[in-house]
Amino acid sequence: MIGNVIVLIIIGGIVGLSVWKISRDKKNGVKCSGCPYSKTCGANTVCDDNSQFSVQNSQLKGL
Amino acid sequence: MRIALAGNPNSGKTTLFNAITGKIEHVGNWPGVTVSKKEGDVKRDLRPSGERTRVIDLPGAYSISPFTSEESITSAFVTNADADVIINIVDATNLNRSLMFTTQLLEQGLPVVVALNKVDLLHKRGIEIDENKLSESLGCRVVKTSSIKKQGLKDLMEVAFSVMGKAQKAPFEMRIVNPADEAEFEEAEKERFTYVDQIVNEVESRITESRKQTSHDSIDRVVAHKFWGIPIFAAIIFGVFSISQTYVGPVLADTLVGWIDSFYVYAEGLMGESVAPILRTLLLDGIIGGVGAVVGFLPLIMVLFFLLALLEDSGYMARVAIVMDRHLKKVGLSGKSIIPMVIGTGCAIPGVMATRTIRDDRQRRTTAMLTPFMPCGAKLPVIALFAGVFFEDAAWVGTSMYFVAIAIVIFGALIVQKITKEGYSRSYFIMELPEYRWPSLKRAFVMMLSRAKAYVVKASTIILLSNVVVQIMQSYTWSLSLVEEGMQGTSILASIASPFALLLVPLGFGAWQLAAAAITGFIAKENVVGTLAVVYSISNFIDPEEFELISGANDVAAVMGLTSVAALSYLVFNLFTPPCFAAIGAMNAEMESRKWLWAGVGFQLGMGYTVSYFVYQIGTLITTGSFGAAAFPGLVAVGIYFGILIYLMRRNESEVSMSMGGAA
Repeated sequence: MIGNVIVLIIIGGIVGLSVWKISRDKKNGVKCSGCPYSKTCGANTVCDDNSQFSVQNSQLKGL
Repeated sequence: MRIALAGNPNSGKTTLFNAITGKIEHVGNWPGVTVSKKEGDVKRDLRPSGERTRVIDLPGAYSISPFTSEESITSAFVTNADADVIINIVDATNLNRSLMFTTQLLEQGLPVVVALNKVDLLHKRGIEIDENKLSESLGCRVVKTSSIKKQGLKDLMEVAFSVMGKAQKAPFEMRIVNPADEAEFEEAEKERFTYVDQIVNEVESRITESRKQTSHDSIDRVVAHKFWGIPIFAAIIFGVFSISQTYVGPVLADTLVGWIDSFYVYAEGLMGESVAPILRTLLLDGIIGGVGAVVGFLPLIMVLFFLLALLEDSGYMARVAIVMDRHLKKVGLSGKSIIPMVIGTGCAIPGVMATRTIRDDRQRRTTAMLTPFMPCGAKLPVIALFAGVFFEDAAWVGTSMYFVAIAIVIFGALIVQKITKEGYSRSYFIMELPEYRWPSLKRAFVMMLSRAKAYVVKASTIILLSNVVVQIMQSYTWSLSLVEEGMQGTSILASIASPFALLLVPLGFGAWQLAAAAITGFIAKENVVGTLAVVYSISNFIDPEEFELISGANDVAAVMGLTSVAALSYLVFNLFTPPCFAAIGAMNAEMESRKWLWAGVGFQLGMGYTVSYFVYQIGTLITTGSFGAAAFPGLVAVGIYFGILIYLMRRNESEVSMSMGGAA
């Protein structure tokens, strides 16, 4: 019984850490955890690069 | 305090950024590597004061007037005065071109410091630059640096801090012109060019031997040759795969897998028999076994990325872009399309993001749709697994996947060109070829470690969670009772994957386990390996006993129940069907069109299915003398796919002829 609880805690801990890492990466603008160079903005910046591109691309079309 | 790094492409901005922040952003010895801004803090030892200083690495730009969206980031950042100081990185070996941008920056009124970069190359090229005179002419401070050798960085930061808050006067101000009047605009730009020319004549002396052919030119005549270029590229990629997957990689992988195996046995022993079977299976097979199977391929991936980093650093990849340009132009793509595709061999997401350097909407969207066909880092463990299990680690398997990808890209571009009724348009691709240099082992090593870290992070997050979910779905039935021994077909996973497996019978793999692995591959391609490990309970694809990639290759092959041809078909299916969801998200962002996105995903799915079908059926016909299972239903599916493509192409042809008739 005690063994089950310990293993359950270990599994829960590992899964919890994974979920926490993925959600933290998402908040920091990383599109995919573990995908190299998929981050598009700095930690203290608003991740507005894509919306910025949208505006600028439409501006570019007019050039 | 915020410092922006701005300059022409391939002037060394990201190398400087990495040197002053200690970060490891992707650098390449070719232009166009950075397509979005990156931020980091200046290292403590480089800060003259204790103040926290943010550095922003901007994408390369030739002009403040943006022509591509990544240039528009630089332009918007500079014109909105988002920085306290701008460090303008100037390629000292190409002063004339670089100063055009410098004079535009100086017009913005922000304090500018010129980092005269790559000074380590000046002596070799017989160039001398008087930086004091240059500083006087431009009206701003000039510091000599070599970002690659980390020279002059402290001086640069001190000067950057000292000019903060000071007004900047422009030595040349472009007269006010009407931007709509091209002739007037060009005339004004010519004045700027004359001004820059005059400065360069004053400050620079160089031994010009323009007619002399350098050793670099001689190498280029061979490696960028229109006929020899592709075989040389094939030979190099073959060499890279041979070293990473046949010789060095397996030796290193063997040790790592030995450790993972020992850990598995240790954990198993520690739990004993007292722990509930479902928890044991979840921890041992789902987490340790599943993740371990993926991590086991890490050494192979590291060696491969090390070699690719050496190639990139040497300047060779820029030549590959030139070699491919002439082929891509013929099918309506921009020569610039090759850059995202080369970046996509590392990871499809930055590859797709790099398409924003392409100005033409159709070309950008087509490139975003085709870039994920290139085998990315996530697909490499799948290649390694199948090459090892079924083809005795043959390097031709990996190499051929690159060339199948290139063939699909060319075919796909041709189809899109026909569907979008774009006629042949001459496009010009001007890319500054970086000089060849001896690749730095240190830089390649750092790059390799960065990729290895990313691989481990992915294995311990997305892959781990997927394996846990797969293990649970495999262990329970829909009535939430445990699956009985030998009744795996009743599991939740089997019931979901089985209908998909039916569709895959014409491709040679109708087992629900293989279908499940292919489906989880859409979350992350490494999942194919992880899921196969979980569903077949194989924790070790790599033999710890022998210096061979796969232990008892026939055993593993027998468990999967695949012939070599079917295995190749399965590999092709996983490589050339749509990429992971994150890459599809990146496609959505860059395409800016739901219609294009769904068409792209549909095209990828159909193409992966078709290529896989032909590999299996033709391969089976050659090896056994008859077609494989369900050849006719598969042919119908492929026929429907091509029917749709032909209909779309014809529809547009008739629209074109109708509009021409109307015009007549």
